[in-house]
Amino acid sequence: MSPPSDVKVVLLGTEYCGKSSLVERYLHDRFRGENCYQNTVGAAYGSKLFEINVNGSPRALIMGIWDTAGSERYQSMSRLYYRSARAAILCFDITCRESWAKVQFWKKEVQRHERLCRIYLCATKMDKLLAEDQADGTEGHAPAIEGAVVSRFAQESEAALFHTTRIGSSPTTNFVFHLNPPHFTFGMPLAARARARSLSTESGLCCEVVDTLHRALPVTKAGAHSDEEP
Amino acid sequence: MDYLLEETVPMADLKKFESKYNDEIQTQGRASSTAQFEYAWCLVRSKYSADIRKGILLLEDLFKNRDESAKQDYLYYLAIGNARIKEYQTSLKYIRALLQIQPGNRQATDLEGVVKKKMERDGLVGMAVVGGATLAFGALVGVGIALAKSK
Ligand SMILES: Nc1nc2c(ncn2[C@@H]2O[C@H](COP(=O)(O)OP(=O)(O)O)[C@@H](O)[C@H]2O)c(=O)[nH]1
Ligand SMILES: [Mg+2]
Repeated sequence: MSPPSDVKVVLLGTEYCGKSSLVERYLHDRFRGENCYQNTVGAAYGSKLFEINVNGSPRALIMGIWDTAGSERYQSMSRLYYRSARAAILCFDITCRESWAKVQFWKKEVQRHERLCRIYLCATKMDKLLAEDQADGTEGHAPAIEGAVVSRFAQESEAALFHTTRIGSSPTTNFVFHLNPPHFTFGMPLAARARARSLSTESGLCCEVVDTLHRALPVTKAGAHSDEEP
Repeated sequence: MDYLLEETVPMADLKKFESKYNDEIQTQGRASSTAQFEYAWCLVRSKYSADIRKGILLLEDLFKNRDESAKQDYLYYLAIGNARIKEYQTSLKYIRALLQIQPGNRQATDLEGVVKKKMERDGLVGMAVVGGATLAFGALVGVGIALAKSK
């Protein structure tokens, strides 16, 4: 038996790039904080219930989210995790070149093996680019990847682009992650940040994912849609 | 959460990692810790308890003799494997050792919840020893503490 899921979403990306934080924020509205990093073993499953509209009548869908470890140790097994996924969110740390390189790898992997899987891109830790967000008052990081490169890649992959950012600078404030819709700019200007603040996760990433899935899904009769099992 | 223990590995995948493991033994005399881990990871999710037991042995070997950085991974799957063959006490010991290394680890506490629920269902709560526990709790926790200190 697999965990319950009508729509499988998988998060891929190097270890420590921020996948679990994203899921934690999305599913539980929590942020553990940078000092309490917990590495993921294998992959962790979480789910969320969605209602979509099918020909005028509501239908409940379980979105199953697989948050993978991302360490090399699990690389050969990763196919078992993304098998039959309908969406793959490829995450990379905006300050880490290596994690960007890995995104290219995952894109090829997923596209080769999962024809029905849509690709999403998520740049994480955007706050690190902003000087004012650094707790110690130091200057912001330079992005490890040029914005134009990321945009081009997203276009080529027909992938919507999102990012996460930690809002608030002192460890005592509540950390909030925001998932922004595809209007993505690097080194986000303040106006954009203000806009980002008012966006809820709900209207961000996953609604977009669900929407795409809705269009891509072979909607079956009354029952749950049947995923082709390996 | 029950799926944590009920999920099984497709036979084709198990076979794939099995031959990788065997090939390495044949060509190099010994499998790499990666190949051994991959194979064990499949075995503990097999439908057959003989496979699960084999997976546990491979993981125990990894835990004792290989790659320090992966101890948490080994402990987690040792806990899964033991719970799947109903060695609940042993499973809980591994979970506690994992929690020693990383207090509050969500995956570990989730698994702990599932195992305890299973025990309740099987009417095993309150029993001191279930089956042949293969590792003494104290010894294992000792390893956990040593690990945590070495970080
Ligand atoms: N500044 C900042 N830190 C983040 C962000 N996302 C995650 N982190 C931190 O990065 C570390 C790794 O995050 P985690 O989600 O566990 O990474 P994973 O290994 O990809 O699951 C943790 O210490 C997080 O607190 C972000 O958007 N901004
Ligand atoms: Mg993680």
